[in-house]
Amino acid sequence: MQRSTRMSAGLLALILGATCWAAPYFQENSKNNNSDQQKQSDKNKNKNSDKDKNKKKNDDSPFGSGKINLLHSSQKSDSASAGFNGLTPNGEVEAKKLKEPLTADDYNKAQRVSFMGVKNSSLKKFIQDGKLNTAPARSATAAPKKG
Amino acid sequence: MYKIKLFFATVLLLLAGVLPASAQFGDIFNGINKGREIHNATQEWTPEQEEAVGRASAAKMIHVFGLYDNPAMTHYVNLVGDTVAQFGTRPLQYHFAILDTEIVNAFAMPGGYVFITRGSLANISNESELAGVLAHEVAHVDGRHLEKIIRDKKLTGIAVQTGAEVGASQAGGIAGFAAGMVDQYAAQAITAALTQNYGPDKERDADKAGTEFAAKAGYDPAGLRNFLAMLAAAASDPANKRVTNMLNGKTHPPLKERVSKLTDLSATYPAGGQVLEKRYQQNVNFQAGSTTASAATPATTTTAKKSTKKPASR
Repeated sequence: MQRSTRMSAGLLALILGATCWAAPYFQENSKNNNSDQQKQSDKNKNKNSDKDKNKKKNDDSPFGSGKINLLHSSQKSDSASAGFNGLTPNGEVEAKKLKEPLTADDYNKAQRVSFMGVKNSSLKKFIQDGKLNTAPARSATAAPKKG
Repeated sequence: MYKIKLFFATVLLLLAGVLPASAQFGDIFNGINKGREIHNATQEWTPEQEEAVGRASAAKMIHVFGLYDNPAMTHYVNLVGDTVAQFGTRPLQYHFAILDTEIVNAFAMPGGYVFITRGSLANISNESELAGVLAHEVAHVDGRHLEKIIRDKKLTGIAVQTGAEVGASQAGGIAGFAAGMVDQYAAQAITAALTQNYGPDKERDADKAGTEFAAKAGYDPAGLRNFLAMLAAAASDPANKRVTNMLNGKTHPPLKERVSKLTDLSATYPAGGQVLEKRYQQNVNFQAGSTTASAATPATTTTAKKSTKKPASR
């Protein structure tokens, strides 16, 4: 019994010693993480205050009245933002949209885009019809396989 | 009983050793990873890596603005885009798509993913202008401009966003990149494209190379210049700030400055390039009944009124 108590005490001392040795490293890492988090939170605070400023400005802007001179394309009935998807009233990209996680639909659409292209025969006809020029043929293509 | 005690003692001893050792070796591993990162940052992406980052960036771009689903119009944009892309210096397969937003802009992602907005198409008046805009974006891809910005950021240690901010990773650990890196690079590409300036040198390069690609393809070399001149005039009206804000000064050099340089540049090419206004109007017509729900839906009263006249003289 005495022997086992002595052994346990020895082990405890060993663990304590090891922890003390490692502590500075963990502290340093944790410090870095904390400062990163602080920076991030400061950034968010600044962004929010900018947003508020923009909001105040936009209340007085002519955009609210829909006064705009550039041509518009037709819009979908479900485009509630009058077609300005992803844009703040001040003409800047919505930070919220940038940070949102992507959906499976986004990835599927991107995959669809990756298959977009035209057949050589269609391109040739298009170039001929428009009296445009064809580039000299290339020997090989470096485009990776899609899938 | 003694054996059990001995077993627990050994486990405790091992734990006591591993804990500090991992902290010590962590520094060494970090150093090795940093070295590897610097090495990777100086290497050009392989076609597979470029494609992976491009597709992830495209997904993000689609998430922010939406994809305009009009197969006929998209096919036409691809035909014009591929016509000018033939004259690029890299044998890359390009994919052109339309973003469902009224803002006037176009974006080039790595791997040949080029987006033009519905707002741009509504304000372009002929095929040579579309060719000029797409050729400018092709030149960005051809010159690996966005890739270079990301690799430079990696070298200087400036992280724009972390992979965690991008959201769920579906593209990690592929194409020779470490897990999560594709999404991280895609986030950096999007941030750079939407909120930062490529830098005057890269924009100048893209204007120059783009004009060359369009002219070689047989288009009027002043296409991009004419479109930007219209935008520069429209941008002077504060009412148009929302649609031109991104293009005028923040992500690109001021429009007037670019128009002035493009005027000189296009004058160096022989006149007589194709303008193809009729073909453009036949293929890009938002008011005519279209096969898609988007174009078939009648415009709102305000937009219909505005659509009757362009503000800027050409």
